[in-house]
Amino acid sequence: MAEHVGELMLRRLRLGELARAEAESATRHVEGCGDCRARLRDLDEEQRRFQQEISFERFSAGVTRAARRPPPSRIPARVAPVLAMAAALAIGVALVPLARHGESRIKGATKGTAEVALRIAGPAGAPQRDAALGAPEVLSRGERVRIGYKPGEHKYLVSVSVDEQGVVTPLYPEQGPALAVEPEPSMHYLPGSLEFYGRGAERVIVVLSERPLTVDEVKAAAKLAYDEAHGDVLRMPELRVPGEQFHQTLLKP
Amino acid sequence: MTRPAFQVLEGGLQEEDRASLRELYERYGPAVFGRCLYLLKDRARAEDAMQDVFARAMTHLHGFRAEASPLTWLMKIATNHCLNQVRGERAGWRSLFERQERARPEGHGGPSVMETRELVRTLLSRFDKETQAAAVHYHVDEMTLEEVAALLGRSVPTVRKRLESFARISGQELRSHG
Repeated sequence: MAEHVGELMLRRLRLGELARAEAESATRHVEGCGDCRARLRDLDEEQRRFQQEISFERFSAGVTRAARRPPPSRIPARVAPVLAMAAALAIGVALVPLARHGESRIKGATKGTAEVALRIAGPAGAPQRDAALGAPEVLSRGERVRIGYKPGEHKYLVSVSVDEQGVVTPLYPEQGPALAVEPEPSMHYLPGSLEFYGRGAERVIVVLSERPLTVDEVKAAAKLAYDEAHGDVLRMPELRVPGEQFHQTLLKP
Repeated sequence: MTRPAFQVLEGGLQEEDRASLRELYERYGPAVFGRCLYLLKDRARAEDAMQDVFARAMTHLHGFRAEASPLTWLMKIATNHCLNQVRGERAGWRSLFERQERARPEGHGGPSVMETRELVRTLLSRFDKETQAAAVHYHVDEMTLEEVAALLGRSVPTVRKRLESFARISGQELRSHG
């Protein structure tokens, strides 16, 4: 072998992956080549540094967590709010509410309790559907989403979404101060419907609050939560804003 | 002997899965982490990406072990996974590219002051995903044209064409012997 052993081949030699003839040829070269021997030593050092930096326990825990989540997206998400109003409403998807600051998680809906629902509908005429609570919801191509809420004791609403690339999109309102909610305790659906583009997971967050937050406040809090989760939208923590939050992850087609 | 696909069970990993993970960690961890770090340029993100790659290997353990070169398979998966992430951050790459372009020294003779790996990484954002992958496997893994073509499932002429388009901008010509 006249030229140096390529990077990948050197690694494979070190791992014993090469076929016999290839391994013998590469080994003969390495034995006579100072540069390639130095590179092999570099690989040993790389091994040592890796195992020092990332313990097996940490590696194992991380891989186990990764095995539980869906594959990541490839294309940045864009949300297109569609102004056409939805048809007659069917039962939507109740979102999992996170706790208010300092309070325990609220489950179920009782009179006076805030609630958020996601309704999913396909192209005209296609049946609407439910989804499992507390689990990522898989969207099919062309499906659109409407966000509904019961205000409980809250007066204002802001909704944003966060995709796997960390792009935070304001859903309702698009800018400025929070929306004032309808005071009646029944379910109200926000105008229009949303179609989520791209692939992978996107987390929809609805914040109901007693004081009017701004879209920028909620966006900043969402970005921070995304960073804390190292970009894993399924593991994002609660946003550091006052009020009650509802989170639902959508898996785009 | 075959092994069952990786099952995440309540109460922790089974002994057999733990042994498989240990093997992956020791044999392939440094290479895969290094690839992820090279493309993502952030240690935390590289570690997350590495975990994704190995999670995939564990769920396809039987197929993975049947590969002629498990390392090559893992590097392909890692490269593809990280390039997908990077492509979603075009603004970030673009500004990084612009900063690095401004920092490049003037003069003839090609990028003599920059290592090949750094140059390849700097220029990746200008190309489509397949050219990116071809450039990484050819110039960084130092695979032959034939090996890159086999890995990407493309013909040698197609890969050559992609690398030639990369060479026109990078100055990294194809090696005369492959």
